Amino acid sequence: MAASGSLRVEALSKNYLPPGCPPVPVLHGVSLAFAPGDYVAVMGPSGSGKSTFLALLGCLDTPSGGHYWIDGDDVAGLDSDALSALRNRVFGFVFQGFHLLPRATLLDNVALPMLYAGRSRRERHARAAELLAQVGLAGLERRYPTQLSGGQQQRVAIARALANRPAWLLADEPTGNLDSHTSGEIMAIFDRLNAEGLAIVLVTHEADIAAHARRLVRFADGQVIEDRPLDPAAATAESAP
Amino acid sequence: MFTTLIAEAMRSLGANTLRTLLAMLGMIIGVAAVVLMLAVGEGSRLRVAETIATLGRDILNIYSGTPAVAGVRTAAGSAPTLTRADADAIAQLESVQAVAPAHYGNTQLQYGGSNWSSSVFGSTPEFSEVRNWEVASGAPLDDGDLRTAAQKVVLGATVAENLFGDASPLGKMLRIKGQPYEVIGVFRPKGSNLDGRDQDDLVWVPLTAAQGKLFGNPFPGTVRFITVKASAESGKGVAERDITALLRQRHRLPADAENDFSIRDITASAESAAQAAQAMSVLLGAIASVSLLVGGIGIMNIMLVTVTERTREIGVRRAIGARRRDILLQFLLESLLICLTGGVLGAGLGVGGAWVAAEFFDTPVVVDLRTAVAAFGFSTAVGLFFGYYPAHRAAAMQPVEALRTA
Ligand SMILES: Nc1ncnc2c1ncn2[C@@H]1O[C@H](COP(=O)(O)OP(=O)(O)OP(=O)(O)O)[C@@H](O)[C@H]1O
Ligand SMILES: [Mg+2]
Repeated sequence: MAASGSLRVEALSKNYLPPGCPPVPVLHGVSLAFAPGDYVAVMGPSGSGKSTFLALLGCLDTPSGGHYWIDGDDVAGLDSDALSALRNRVFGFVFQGFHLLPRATLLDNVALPMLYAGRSRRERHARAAELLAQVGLAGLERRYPTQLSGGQQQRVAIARALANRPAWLLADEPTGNLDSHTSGEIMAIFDRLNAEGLAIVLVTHEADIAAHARRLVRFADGQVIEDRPLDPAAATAESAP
Repeated sequence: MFTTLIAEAMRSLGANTLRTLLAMLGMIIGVAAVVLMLAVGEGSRLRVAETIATLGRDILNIYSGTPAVAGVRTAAGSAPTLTRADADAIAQLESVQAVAPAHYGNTQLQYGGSNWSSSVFGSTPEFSEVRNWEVASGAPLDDGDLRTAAQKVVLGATVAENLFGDASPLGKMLRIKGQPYEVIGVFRPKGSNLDGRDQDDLVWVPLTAAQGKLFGNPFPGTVRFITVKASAESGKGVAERDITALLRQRHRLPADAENDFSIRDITASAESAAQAAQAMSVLLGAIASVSLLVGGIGIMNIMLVTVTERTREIGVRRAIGARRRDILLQFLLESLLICLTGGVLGAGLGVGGAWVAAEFFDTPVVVDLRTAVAAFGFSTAVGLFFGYYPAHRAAAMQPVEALRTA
């Protein structure tokens, strides 16, 4: 899997087809390009299609129209296994609700993507322990997610997202369930990871969270209405849109 | 990788112990039924086969009298129609291997202070060959004994044991109807037949002694019955036809007259018992299959519930890179694990049930490697068959929709 960097969508659209109801158009004509190492904040009102867009970007869902290229390869031609492989190795996901497996230890949660990548048990455990240490949870390998605070759970989710050294971290309101202090800690981790070369797309409703990014994409009614660079120096000065 | 998957499967099953156990219960009962069915079916099949082997193959008994009134006991006053000359003529037939004319009665045997009532067979030396009676110790009766109507006797194992206990009866004199007879041999025991009758409760004396001295014979030259062993090549069907033709000719029966004798196949009842055992096995098999089916449906039901409950987990796994077949494998493994564990417990229960049947109800059972193979095979098959649909449903979910589920 050589994919490592650029993502490009062209006239991307998505209609939901709820059974027994007329189709719901959610995205229409979204065209965007992301370069390796990008740090992008996605904002917009509720229902504007941010989560839908992120799911398409992460190959969790398939578009209704338009094109999507990863490193110049058209995603439309890929089968289910190839999409799984992309999610496994090219993208890492962080969700608002953490989405850890409650019956698995933190170590097993973080090691899981490596299991699907076919890595050996020793490798999985060594790297999972290292990742937990990186997000400040060394020594808690044998704990279960329910024994942790929300901030700690989100750190585990980040560690899990990093397991197979993805090129992209896709985060849908990662701080949505956290207080501002804990949010700051999570964002500090994101900033560090981006500085180390990881590209990040981050959906958020909060301007001070978005201000950590270097680029802002704003959605409204399923379309991009704003796409501009952010001045990282102005991070603290940025206020509500 | 595989050990991790099995550990994961055990963990998810362990998370809901009661539900897992209830799902397993159907399998336990189903597999126990299969194991019991096989043990009992095989046991009765073997018992019947052994019985047929002790009776001897291709044995026909020919009795005096028309088939309607035929029996060992002929109608009072009427002369028996079978003669020793008939027996000699039958022995000449191509399709007959050996012939023994016989006379028999029930009477009292005495030795010292012991009394025992038994069947006394008077017959020729061929008797032991025809009826498959092997003389285990001592010697069989011979032609000299027949000619001289020697007062010699060969004992069935039951008689020997009841009159002599552990002591060797060879050379001892016992009294049959008050007359002294010398014990010259003891038969190898055959055990009881399918009706539970003890086959070893008999003694064998020369035909001449039985007719001349013990029971008398108001119609000289006749015999009560003739027992015949058909030759292996032609079988009993051909032998029966040849004997019928021969006897009709010898007895000068007109073409429209009924036979004045009847021929019975003594293994026929054992063979019908074999068929009954077979039918029993089929019935038990049907019951076992139904319980396995019910068990399998229970597994499927539980697995469908599990898959629905864990939709979000499936979404998470797909989001971090699980392929469809990883999810399929995960849920198939869980149903297999339930079924195999249930299979092992069920096999234990079935073997226990077979032991109880053998010990307390005297049912013949056979438990062997096939039992284990069947239990393993059936539980694997049920696990895969009934686990497949729920696992397939889990694998077919769209990641994003699975994730959105609360
Ligand atoms: N499965 C679905 N079926 C029908 N409509 C859907 C489905 N999923 C989402 N939608 C609709 O698509 C629209 C966009 O949803 P999406 O989750 O992308 O919004 P969002 O921008 O992430 O909003 P929020 O900020 O509240 O998370 C919404 O109007 C929603 O009702
Ligand atoms: Mg959203």
